[in-house]
Amino acid sequence: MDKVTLLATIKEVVAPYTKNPEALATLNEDTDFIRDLKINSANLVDVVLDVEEKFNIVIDNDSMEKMINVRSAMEVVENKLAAP
Amino acid sequence: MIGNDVIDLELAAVESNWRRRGYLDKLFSPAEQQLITQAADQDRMVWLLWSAKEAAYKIIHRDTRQRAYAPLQYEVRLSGADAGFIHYNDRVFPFRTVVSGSCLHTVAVASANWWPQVAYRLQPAEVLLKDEDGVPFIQDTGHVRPASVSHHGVYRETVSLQI
Repeated sequence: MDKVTLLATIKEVVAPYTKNPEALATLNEDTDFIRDLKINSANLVDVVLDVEEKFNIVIDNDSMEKMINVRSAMEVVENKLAAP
Repeated sequence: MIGNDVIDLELAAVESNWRRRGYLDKLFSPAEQQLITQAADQDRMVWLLWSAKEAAYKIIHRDTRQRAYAPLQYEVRLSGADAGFIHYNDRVFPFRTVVSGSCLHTVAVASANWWPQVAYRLQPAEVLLKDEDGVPFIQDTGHVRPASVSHHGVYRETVSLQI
């Protein structure tokens, strides 16, 4: 999966939980889920679960720990998709 | 040190479906999930446990300045209906929760010695500041004191240490 598609899919996943539409409109790899998108921390687990379903992967606790911004979410997905 | 977390229970009921498959497993240990299963008010227990983890995370973040989403590293054990301890590695933080209407507010401290020093609410002369890591402080006339601030839905709570 190319970066553009991956970024677009992440954007789609976080959209329902985002409380800052302006930050969503300009979403990029540096966008922070909590500080920029104002996603409630109790909804961050929904983002993780939605990413798992969307990409058909399992996100372990060590990977979930890093999923606080778009860049690390993309890295987690890329690593899981690349794993045999 | 100090950390707090407030939850608007009415908003949480709309915003979060903790009954969704996989949700509890990512946030709560088997022992914590058992507390939820056995609770008379399961929603209240979910948010009490979650707020305790959040409050303890704020103490850890203040110390380490490292951000992480690792709720299972925080293990909550109750010592009464609305109080208990959060275990994180070799540290243990006491916490107390107050529920008033649909406002659930949890405060955790680094050790029980701090309880008499906890100030609830911001006084008129006090100003809330945040440093470059987003760690809050309260500045009053004399000096700067550690604080914690949380808002959710229609509720906002600020606590600080009078030191």
